[in-house]
Amino acid sequence: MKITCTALVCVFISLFLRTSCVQAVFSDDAFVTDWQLANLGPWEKIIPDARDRNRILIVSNPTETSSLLSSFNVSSGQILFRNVLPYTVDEIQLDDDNHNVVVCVDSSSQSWQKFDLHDWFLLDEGVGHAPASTALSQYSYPNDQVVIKGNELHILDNESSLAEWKLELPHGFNKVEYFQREDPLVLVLNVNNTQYLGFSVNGTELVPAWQRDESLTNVVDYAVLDVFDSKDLELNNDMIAERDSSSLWNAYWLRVTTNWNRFMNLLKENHFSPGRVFTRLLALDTKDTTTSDLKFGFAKTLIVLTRNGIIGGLDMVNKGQVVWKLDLQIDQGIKMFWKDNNHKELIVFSRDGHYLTIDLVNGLPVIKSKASLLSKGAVESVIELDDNQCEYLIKFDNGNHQLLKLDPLVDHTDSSIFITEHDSNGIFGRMIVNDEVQDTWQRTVKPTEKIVAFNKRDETNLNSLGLTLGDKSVLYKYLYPNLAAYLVTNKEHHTITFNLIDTITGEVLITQEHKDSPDFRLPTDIVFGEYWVVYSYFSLDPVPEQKLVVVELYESLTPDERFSNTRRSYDPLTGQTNKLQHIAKQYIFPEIIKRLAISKTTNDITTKAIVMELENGQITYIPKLVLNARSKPEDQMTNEDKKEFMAAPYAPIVPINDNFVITHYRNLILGPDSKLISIPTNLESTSIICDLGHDVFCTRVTPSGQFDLMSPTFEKGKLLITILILLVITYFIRPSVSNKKLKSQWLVR
Amino acid sequence: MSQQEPHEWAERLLNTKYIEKYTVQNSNTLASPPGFENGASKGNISKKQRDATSQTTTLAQKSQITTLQVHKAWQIAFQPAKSIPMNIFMSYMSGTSLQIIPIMTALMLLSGPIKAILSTRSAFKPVLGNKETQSQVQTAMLMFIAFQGVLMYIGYRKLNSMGLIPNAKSDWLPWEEIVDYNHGLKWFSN
Repeated sequence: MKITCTALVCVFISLFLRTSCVQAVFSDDAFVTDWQLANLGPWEKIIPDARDRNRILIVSNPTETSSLLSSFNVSSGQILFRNVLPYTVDEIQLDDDNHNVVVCVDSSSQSWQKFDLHDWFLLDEGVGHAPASTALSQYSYPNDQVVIKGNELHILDNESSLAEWKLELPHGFNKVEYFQREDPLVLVLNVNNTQYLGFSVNGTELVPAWQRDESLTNVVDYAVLDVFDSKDLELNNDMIAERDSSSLWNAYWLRVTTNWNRFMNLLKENHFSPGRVFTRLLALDTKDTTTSDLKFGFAKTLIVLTRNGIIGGLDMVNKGQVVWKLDLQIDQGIKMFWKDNNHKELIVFSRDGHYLTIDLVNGLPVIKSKASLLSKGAVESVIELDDNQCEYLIKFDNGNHQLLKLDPLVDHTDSSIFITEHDSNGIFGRMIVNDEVQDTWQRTVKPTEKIVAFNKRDETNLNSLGLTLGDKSVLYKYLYPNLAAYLVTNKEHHTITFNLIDTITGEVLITQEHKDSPDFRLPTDIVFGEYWVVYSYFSLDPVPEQKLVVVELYESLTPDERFSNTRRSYDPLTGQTNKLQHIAKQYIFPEIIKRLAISKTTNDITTKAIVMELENGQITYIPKLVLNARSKPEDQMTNEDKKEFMAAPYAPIVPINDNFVITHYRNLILGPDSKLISIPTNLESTSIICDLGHDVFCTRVTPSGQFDLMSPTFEKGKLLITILILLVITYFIRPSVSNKKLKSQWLVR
Repeated sequence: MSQQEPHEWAERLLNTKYIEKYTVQNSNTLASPPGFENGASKGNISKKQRDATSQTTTLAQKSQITTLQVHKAWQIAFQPAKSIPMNIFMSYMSGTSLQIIPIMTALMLLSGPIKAILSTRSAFKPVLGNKETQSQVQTAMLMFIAFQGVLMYIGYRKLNSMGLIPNAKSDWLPWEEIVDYNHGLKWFSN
């Protein structure tokens, strides 16, 4: 009976999500607005696939703990399958009994795994010698067949040793990566170390068949460059002028006059011909996505910094096409910031203690300067103090700090600066006094404990001080800004603890412990929205489940009770601020969650969505309203409770709705340090979600539906024609009406 | 332009003495239509008798008029009460969803009684001016106002159930000010 109830609740919620709550990405948007850069990384080993001469196996992107094994179609340049193996592949063997089975061997641990070559299902695994298999030799290209003479590559004829095909070497040629003489002839060249060019034969010529760029693999940081349209700037200036006008009436008058002038200009441009204006208005309907992309702020350049020290600009509306890239020649990139509000200069920090200034001249990057930091240690973290003020706090591996001030004019005498740093062992409060870093407080954890997730409170636009309940009373949100939340795992007691701290005083405001045997091998993450925290962990008791916990922070849990007082002056340093009250609720999610993020929009009016990268490589999202800490079981809900906006009874299992899987059936490989981000657009309804890591994936979500976009089925033409017909009718009817009026005055029938 | 002689009728119109030349026949001298003979003219009832009957008839008429006036006043007072059950039923049936028709009817329920209260005197005009019935008419007027109040209350309840009356804290939430906790204090984190 209980199971049926739960099932019913699940069905109810999925229906609720499907119908009323939010609009998901539907098939007309799928694979149109979203894109993915599926990377392999620099090719380490190439093993020809014995079964099919078009295919090769590539081992790439080796780390200490994993490697990527891909099946690749060498004639078309398509990735057929990618498989992340949790060890370094040293050798690949072919099963003697079944030629559709490969064995991957890790020589350091003497372990092997057997895979089906078609679908890469794991068939068998073991330690020691793999049974009955032959080692596949790593590919090396035959020197006697391909020779490089000067600036040309010659493919020699086997018998005569004369050049059968000649190819001018591309710029930046590095080496011949792969060559296959027959069935079919395939030549793969490596250019600039990270680019791969595939050639095939067309008659007597070698022609380029495909190319792959593997340089933008393993993204560590990003920056977003907006692409503007001149018309948008004009509108923007109008908005600013309106905002800055002295009174509401002036603003209104300004809008009326500017729009009237615009209308008159439109008439003038069309020589006061209504027909021309009409056709022009109709022409606005054409599906010119470029202008709409510019207008709606979808046209952006996503600038990514890779671990290998390469920055690249990706065109976000053009399927992530690489617009430009630049090798910064640094050891390892870690952080990147905009230096100015106009987004003209970037500053990039490298792990070996360098920082580079990059100028974006006409949209193309140029290294302006390169300098080193004072300390010799490796850079651990960089914190930007204030947006675009060119002031950074750099922490080195050896525990030293350096305050890097690029603009000597920036002065903080009128304000005090506090910083919170964290690593897996503790959280440290610091303060900057006279350009010196001073320690204020610290919360270190025991040796058996570890901080696994940390997040500070999101900076959002405040739209409402409280939540309106069903009976029109108000629950006031706790809006104290200096808050951070973190999760601590304890191996000794086998618990996971959620803590909320005041980052100025270091006071722990909330602590709640979970004793349901959390699994420390699986990922945990935490996000901190305006007045709520959502965190995820995997627990084993009573049955293994992915848990999602939501904690909501209020001034008081009694409606209409407000403790913060605008007339009182608060000093966070003394800790004498009004304290919070909280309410928490736990939910169960059917998939293992790797990473969480909150959707961001321009004005934060759209309902928030929790975007989740799952362990299986999919990305999905659920509205925050579904994770409601105040929700109650249906039988406990009063009529007033039901009247609340989007009120739903508490259903512990949050199902995954297929429409909300924004990656569709893509195979994403993002790596352990991926970044799940949300970028606001000019449309309040729409937010761009990107996941940056080994691959780069971007899409758009509309958590409250596309409420600010005219639906494509809106019939502008019909509307205009109706107005026109009405005008014409009025024109003809007017004389007859006035005639009738006159007659009635004279009592003439 | 040649000077024309004025018309004869125009001259007579302006001449005040012209009308005096005509002898006007007084309608009083005309005989009453048949059946409208005055009793006195018949001469078969004595003057005393006549006086006594006329006195009793006027007294009876007066008391009748008073009762009639009071009756009428209470009728006017109860007029709004008659529509109370119907209005309660209507506002209950139309639900609390925000639609233009229920909003309009609820607003009419609010504005109608106000107008009616302001024009109470004109509503009671036919029964006013009689000193004997004044106190009773005034009570009826008070009842009239009370019934209008009941109608207004129905309209108020209706608007309130629609959430259109700003009487809760949430209605004034946008005007509440936010507290600035960080006066010049800035906080950053990695």
